[in-house]
Amino acid sequence: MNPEKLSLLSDQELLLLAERMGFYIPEGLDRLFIIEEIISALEDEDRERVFSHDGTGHVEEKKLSGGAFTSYAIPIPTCVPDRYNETMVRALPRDPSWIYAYWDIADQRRSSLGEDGNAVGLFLRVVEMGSTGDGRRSYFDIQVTLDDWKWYINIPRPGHSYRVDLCLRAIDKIKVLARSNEVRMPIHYLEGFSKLSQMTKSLLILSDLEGLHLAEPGTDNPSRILAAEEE
Amino acid sequence: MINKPSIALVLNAHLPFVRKPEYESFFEERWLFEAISETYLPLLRLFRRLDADSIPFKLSLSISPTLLSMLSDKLLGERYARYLDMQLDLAAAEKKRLGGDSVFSPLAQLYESLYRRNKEDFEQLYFRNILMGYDYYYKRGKIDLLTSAATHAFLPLYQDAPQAVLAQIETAIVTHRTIFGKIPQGFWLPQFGWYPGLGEMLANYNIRYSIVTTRGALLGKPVPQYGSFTPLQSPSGLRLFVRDAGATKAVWSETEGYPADPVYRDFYRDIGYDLDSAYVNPYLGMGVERGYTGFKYWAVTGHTNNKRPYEPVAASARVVEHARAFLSERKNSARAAAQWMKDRKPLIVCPYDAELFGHWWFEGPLFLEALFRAAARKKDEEDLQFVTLSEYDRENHDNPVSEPEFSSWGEGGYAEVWLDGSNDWVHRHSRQTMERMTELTERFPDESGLRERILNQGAREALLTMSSDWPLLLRSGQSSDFARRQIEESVANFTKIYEMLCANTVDTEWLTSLERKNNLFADINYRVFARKR
Repeated sequence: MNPEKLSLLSDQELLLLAERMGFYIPEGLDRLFIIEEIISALEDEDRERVFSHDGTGHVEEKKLSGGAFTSYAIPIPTCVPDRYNETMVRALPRDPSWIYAYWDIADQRRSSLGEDGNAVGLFLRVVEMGSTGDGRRSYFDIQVTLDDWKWYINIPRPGHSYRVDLCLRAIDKIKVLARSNEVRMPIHYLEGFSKLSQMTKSLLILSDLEGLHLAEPGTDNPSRILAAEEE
Repeated sequence: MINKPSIALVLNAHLPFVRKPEYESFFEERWLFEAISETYLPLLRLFRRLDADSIPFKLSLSISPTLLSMLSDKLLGERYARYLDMQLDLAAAEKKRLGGDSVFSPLAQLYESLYRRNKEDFEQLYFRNILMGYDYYYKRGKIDLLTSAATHAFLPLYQDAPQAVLAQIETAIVTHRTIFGKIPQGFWLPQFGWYPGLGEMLANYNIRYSIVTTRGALLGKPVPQYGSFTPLQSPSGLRLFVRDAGATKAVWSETEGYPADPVYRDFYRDIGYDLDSAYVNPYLGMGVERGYTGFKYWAVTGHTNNKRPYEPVAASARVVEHARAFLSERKNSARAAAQWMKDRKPLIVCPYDAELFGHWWFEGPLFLEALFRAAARKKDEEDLQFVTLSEYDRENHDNPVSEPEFSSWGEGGYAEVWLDGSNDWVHRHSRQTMERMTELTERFPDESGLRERILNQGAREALLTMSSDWPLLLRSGQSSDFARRQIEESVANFTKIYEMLCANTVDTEWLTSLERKNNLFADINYRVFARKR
């Protein structure tokens, strides 16, 4: 995540991201300040992560530790294709907030797009699956260029399913060049904690619900809820 | 039914496939040799010691299919024997260099003893096949052996390619059965990568149980009523044990965990970096300037460069203290949970990377031994009883149904480690390879002879592109050139196979050479990639 990527988000998406990261944003705060806050929080988190290093990596990195050299005596040119010359788009769920999408446009199709010159407007349409009340699907668009081939997409609603369409905007219509698989996004937080039974609440806390930051921000601290109920 | 609070220790032994017969020696093959020396053989010695003293021990151990392939490989066995000789030569050189130094000479002696014991066990006890040792305890029910995905693929990133996931599962089961003669009951999820729906695939292969992260379980639907203290049952009937967060932190944390104690041996300070490179070069291999030799003389000490010399006696005493503390903390945790669990006893599941014990945390095997010895002395009603996962699975049936959330044990808890700017390019190639392999199974459903050979090799290369180890190394920046090369080689090999089959030609000499090099999964059947109806 960098300031450039954050600047592509709408005000609402920025506020949502800030809220998920657990800090308060006063109403009317300029979006540049919000971006700075988010970047600063992410840098702190990175520093903390490097320090605590509790992820899976630290053992695996050690068992696969090597010297600072290349073992291969002769660099053999490998013939890995740069691309596979097909028109496609695929979506992978990275975490509750981000989809990774990658795509390609076959040469034949690409050359016909080039003929239209600047009239070509390539974009990704991120469609939330399942319909709204009026039977329509909500979506948002991300402008891309012919040189792009991947994008990390911040999605508005964890726990929902999305599809990514690679689209071309012509003068009077939108043409779908490729349609991705559907991805169901995981969730960040446990919802409805306060409605669970006393037994379950206690056992979830003993299971480290709070240490794993699985309680929804904005709700009261689960331990406090429990203590109040016990009183 | 197990009617005592229980604890299950689960280890995951895994290394990615590295075998380079085209080189006289190859530095990254030492990953395997170091793990055999510091973890896999010491674990077997620990089993023997406990057995000799009639101390009961129960352990669940996953040995990944790539590791099984390497541990049963003749060439790697020969090279390991050569490595041991080289380590013994280094020990002799070190004893000479250190002369009568009362502090460091005994440490050189310690390493000499380690490698000498390893050589005796490897050559005379296990005849260069240490899997014999594990098989012995497996058949006696002392340990439980699980399998894992064929090339340790991070399965959530293949959730829309079920044929690729099934190929990983089926190849793993076949490899395990070939070596141990039994179908595995348990499946270790690589990197603990789980996604809703995976349970059905595993259950279809008669896998009975697996393990998920605390995060995945707690975010499951419905919310598991006993938290992480009782296994779950996925809607498809798969038993899902839940990782205990407290046990994880106690051992896993590099800063707060037991291995960070000042008296333990420091992993990083190694004579491979401390001494003159001309002196250590001959023990590292051709062209290697610097690297770990395994000879480490300093204690963790703290966040300082002024390390204290390692004192094995002090470390051995601390291990016993830590084992007692670990059991006591887990007992307290189980006791607190038991107050809320009226109809069952809590189970604490403690899963770790096996190589943590011995390779990184040098005293790790002693810690495990101290755990079993301490547990054997406990007789209190509330004391934890060690169980294997299969034993618990056999005896306890009534578990709450829940579908855990997509999760992993990587940083962030989802897929960030295997999907970021450093490694996302891998997926385009890996997915293309999967799809092409599936296409080949449809075009050539019933081949034999040479074409079957090339299709089988194609399946091996396709599976190798899915390894989760290489994206992890690309992200960490460590050995990233090597990691990139592994992926590129597998993709290039597969692409050549695909193109040969499309052109109806086979370069037999090239194929034979590749079969000899990437010889993992001897009994692979390329049809594992066929779409299942």
